[in-house]
Amino acid sequence: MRIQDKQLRPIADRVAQSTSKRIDDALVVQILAAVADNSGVSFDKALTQLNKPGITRAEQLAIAQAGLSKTERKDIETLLDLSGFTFSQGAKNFLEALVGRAQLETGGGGPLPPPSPSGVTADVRGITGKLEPGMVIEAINLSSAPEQRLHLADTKEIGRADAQGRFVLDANSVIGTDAMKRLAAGDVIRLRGRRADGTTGDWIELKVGGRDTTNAQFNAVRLTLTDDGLGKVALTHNTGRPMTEPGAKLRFTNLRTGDQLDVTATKDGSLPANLKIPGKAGDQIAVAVSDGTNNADLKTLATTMSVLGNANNVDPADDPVPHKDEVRADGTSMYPLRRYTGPLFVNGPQSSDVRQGAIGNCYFPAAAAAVAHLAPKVLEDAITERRDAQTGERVFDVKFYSPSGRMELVTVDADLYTRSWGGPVYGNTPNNNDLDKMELWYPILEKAYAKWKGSYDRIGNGGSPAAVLTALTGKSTRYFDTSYNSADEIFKAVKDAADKKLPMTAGTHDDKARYTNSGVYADHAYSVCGAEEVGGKKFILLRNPWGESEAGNDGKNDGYFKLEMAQFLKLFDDVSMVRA
Amino acid sequence: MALPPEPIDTVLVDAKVVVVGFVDAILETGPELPQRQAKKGERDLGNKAPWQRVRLTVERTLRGEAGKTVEAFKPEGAYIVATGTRGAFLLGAPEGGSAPILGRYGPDTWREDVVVAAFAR
Repeated sequence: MRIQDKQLRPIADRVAQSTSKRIDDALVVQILAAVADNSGVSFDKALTQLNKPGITRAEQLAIAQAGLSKTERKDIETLLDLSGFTFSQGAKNFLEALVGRAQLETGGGGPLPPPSPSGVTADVRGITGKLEPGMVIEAINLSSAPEQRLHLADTKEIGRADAQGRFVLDANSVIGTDAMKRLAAGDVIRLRGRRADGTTGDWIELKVGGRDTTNAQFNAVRLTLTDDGLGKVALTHNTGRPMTEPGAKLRFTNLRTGDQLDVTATKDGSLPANLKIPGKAGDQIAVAVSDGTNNADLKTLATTMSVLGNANNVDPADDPVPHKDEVRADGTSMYPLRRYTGPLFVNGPQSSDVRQGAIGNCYFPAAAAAVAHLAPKVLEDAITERRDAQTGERVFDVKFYSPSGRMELVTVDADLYTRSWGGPVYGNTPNNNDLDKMELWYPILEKAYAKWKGSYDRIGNGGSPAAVLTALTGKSTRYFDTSYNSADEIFKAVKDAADKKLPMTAGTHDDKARYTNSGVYADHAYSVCGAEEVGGKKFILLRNPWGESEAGNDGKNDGYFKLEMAQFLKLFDDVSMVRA
Repeated sequence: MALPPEPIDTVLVDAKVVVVGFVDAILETGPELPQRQAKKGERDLGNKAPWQRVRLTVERTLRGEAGKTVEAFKPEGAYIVATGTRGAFLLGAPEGGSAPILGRYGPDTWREDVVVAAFAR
């Protein structure tokens, strides 16, 4: 390639030496100025005219055409045809219009669109580049964005181009908000310029230079895996926020079937549309991610996710199978299903509404009652009632959160396994004298949990109340071991958590001899309702999820009781509480 | 397993003798049973304590006939008794000389006043 014009040649040389080899909207204005200078104006003066606020593309083209020489025409044709450069759409149209190959796209006759930053370099020390003088530079770190609550338009202003259009920004001024949480080697940064009138140029993306030791992130909360009912699992990006780094390599492996799916993340950190992998509800899908440098062999897993039934493709009438103790040899249930018609809530969810059924899942009602006691709104928001669009039946959508924080929706109807002589076999409520008026939120919540986990048997052989606190609130938990934490530490933590309305549970030891005649039961989970100091003595307030059987005798036998700290520490092994 | 107590009315029908008293001797204890180990924070694992053959000192008899002492059998289950354990004992039909203690948690299944109230219904 040979460029003859002395003003155009250095511009072409700079582009040829750049890594992008791209002529964008900002650079094309310099080319126009280099062409315009033949008409009796200097390059700098032509550049000033071309960047005059409010100037239209047609006016810019006219300024350049006034100075266009034969040599420059040939040079422009060389740039277009022989240089191997790439062009932004606006830049290419300008140059083609200049040499008469195309009509100028005027964009309605308005001013030239704002240019994009050019000549940009970034490393851990900062970002430098060029833009129209005075333009604000906006940026977002696409590599750290997946762990932030950010959309890709949630940018940070990191600086402004000076009078010559240059910007030299050190790392300290660039870093400081979620959008620019860091400036690490290998990170993908998205930049654009914004004029004072609010118009913005095209985004450009670049990698921060240096030795890349930070792998791409993967935010599992933003991925939903659903059984499509046809032997495949659909992978859906469930939010407008990025899931991973643009261009990241992802490998999904069905751990049951061994099927693998390799995918490259889109430029927005999403997944290509309509992705599916062979599998079904209940399968475990392992996810590995690489930025191309770190974990390049995809051997280190980012997470493992469950394929779950989805409200859209699982019949609400599909009831979870009973616990194995309530299943006959032929696989049928010992108890019939009964349709309940009572209200979902009566005066909102309360801990006293919860009564454990004939199933080994004390951890679940203990946690559910704890949430009802201190954060009832969480449950009101988690369980919603509607009419099924196809059947018109009353159904309930119940929200749960996976350990990674991903929200799942489970839909159930109001059919519950029921004894012939009384109420529900499983989760129950004390006010069930009239089954047609029985408050339903707790049995519905437990049924949905059983459906989510697979069956009543899957939830009925022990478990962790802390995991249920997370499933209901979407928040992680703190754990206190009564062997290691002092009475004062535990009392203060419980009191603080109660004041902040953070649900809590406590569990007893499995040493059964410790509990005989104590009114407290071994291997059992309780709701922690709070802490109080009376007459210089400190107490923990508790509730047995059975809704009865408590320490002491206050004449109520409703499950609520309190223990002085020394007795609490003797009988209880641990306390779990939702983090703020 | 920390299951709730059975509804008392469903157990009372099998109770031939109901006494209020305490364990004054552990006569025999069955072998330790395999225990499922809990992960951190897990509850309701359902581990069972071994069976025990015990002698009860009777303070009051609420149903049936009983002498001053009764030999009783605590089945494998969710609780264990010790000398001095007291409460209302619901006893089933004797087998092999020992009457089985009914109720998922033996004398801790229902308080004495709950048992008395059930009789009154």
